[in-house]
Amino acid sequence: MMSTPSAVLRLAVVQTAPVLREPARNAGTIARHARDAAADIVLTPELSLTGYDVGDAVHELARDVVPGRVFAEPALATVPGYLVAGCIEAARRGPFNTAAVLHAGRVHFRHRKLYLPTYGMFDEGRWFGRGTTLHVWTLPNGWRIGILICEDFWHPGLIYTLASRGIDALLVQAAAPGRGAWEGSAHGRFASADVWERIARTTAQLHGIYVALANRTGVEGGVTFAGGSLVAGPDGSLLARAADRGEDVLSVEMSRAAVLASRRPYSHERDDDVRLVIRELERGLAEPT
Amino acid sequence: MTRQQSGFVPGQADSGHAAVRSVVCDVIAEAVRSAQAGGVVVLDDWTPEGALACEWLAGVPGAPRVWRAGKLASNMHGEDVDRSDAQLPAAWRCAREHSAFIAHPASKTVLLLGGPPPRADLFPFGDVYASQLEELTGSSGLPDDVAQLARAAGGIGAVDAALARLVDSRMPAADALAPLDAAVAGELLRLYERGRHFRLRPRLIPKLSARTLGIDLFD
Repeated sequence: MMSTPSAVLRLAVVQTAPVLREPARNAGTIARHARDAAADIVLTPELSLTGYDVGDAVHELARDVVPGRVFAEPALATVPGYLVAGCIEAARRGPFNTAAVLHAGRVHFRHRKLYLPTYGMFDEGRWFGRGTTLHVWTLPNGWRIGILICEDFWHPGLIYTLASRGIDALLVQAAAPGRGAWEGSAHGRFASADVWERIARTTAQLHGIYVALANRTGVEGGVTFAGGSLVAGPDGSLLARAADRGEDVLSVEMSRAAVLASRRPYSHERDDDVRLVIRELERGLAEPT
Repeated sequence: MTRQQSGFVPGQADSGHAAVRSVVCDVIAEAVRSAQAGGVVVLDDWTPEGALACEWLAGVPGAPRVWRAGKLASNMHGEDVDRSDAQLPAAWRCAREHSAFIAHPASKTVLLLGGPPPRADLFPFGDVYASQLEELTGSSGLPDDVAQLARAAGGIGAVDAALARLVDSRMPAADALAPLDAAVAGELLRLYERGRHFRLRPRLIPKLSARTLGIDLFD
């Protein structure tokens, strides 16, 4: 018999401006914010330990991310609860752009980024290996969590796959650059930040789940990262939104009752037919293109 | 160089443009900080966009030191000197002496169509179209052939709109330039091709739009 998830889970979203290629310094910043937040789960941005555009320092910055083993960044062992850190994972077919879930300094779970943007200003395919699996992280208290990294979130098939496995919350790490400063300037933020919010809120409402986005801030080269981390409730409402610039921390209580309540007005989740989707996808794959 | 007048009052830009200002200033300040540079020498500082660059950089918290190349040239050669000719050696001398970056206030329009740009490390407004820069300063500088193109197109706004479709939206040239007269479209493409070598050479430009020279891939 499945255990009943606990009623409430305290989430902190820590928005930082990682210093490029300085993991110890970034770990110190994260640990300080996380201790202050005292949450059950602390979510940080993509590559929050290393910065984004690490270039050929990628191997030097890589760490072992092996479930059960100690994670080699001592400052993070002081973080209470679970910490979702963004790191470069050393591995035989890596390095990988990985979300490492740490508890008391040990690796508890990991998600390797599946879709590596390699177009326009992005060059991730040059530096990282691509993850090949998607797992649900189940907490001892019964909450089921999905984790995606930045570009992963723009692939609805991944979200659907996690939702079909009954997640209660989706945690998204991002290092999303700002685009459209001119177009978005009426709100004083990048137009691209509005797009992330629309996707997060729509995803939350469609699946009746919490969606938390931790996006980094700060500058690397000519790129300004757009901040604006947020948490959307399972009814699609915006529960909290961080500043567009600078470090910030969001604290939200995620409620099991809110997840269930969001699914009562509709029957999308109840009626969803995964086998129908699989059948039709396979039929589509078999058709000549 | 021709000036385009918009009738806009300098310094009265919409407060929403603060987002653009913060990005430009943050990127330049971080470049100076991370390189431990001595500051920034601004070329063409006597133009409205050059003056704006100086004003914005001076307003950054912990501002990098800013030198105005035109003023340096005047100090070196006397007030009657043609600053456009004299500023480059003055700027390079200052940059070498103070380990400073050299910045030029050229717009994205000028970088895309204006041919070989000045030798500079930073282009603070390199992701801001000339018509947008006009909103901030009241006018923007265009090389004569680009100014002529703008007149033929019915204004720099029409040229920038076409460039935005071609560059930022990545539309095929035929579609992007369709609203323009055929001769104007042909001239725009000719000027665009002329700048190919610059698009391939990376420079530091604060990213503001969907597609930024020096950051996004260009052909």
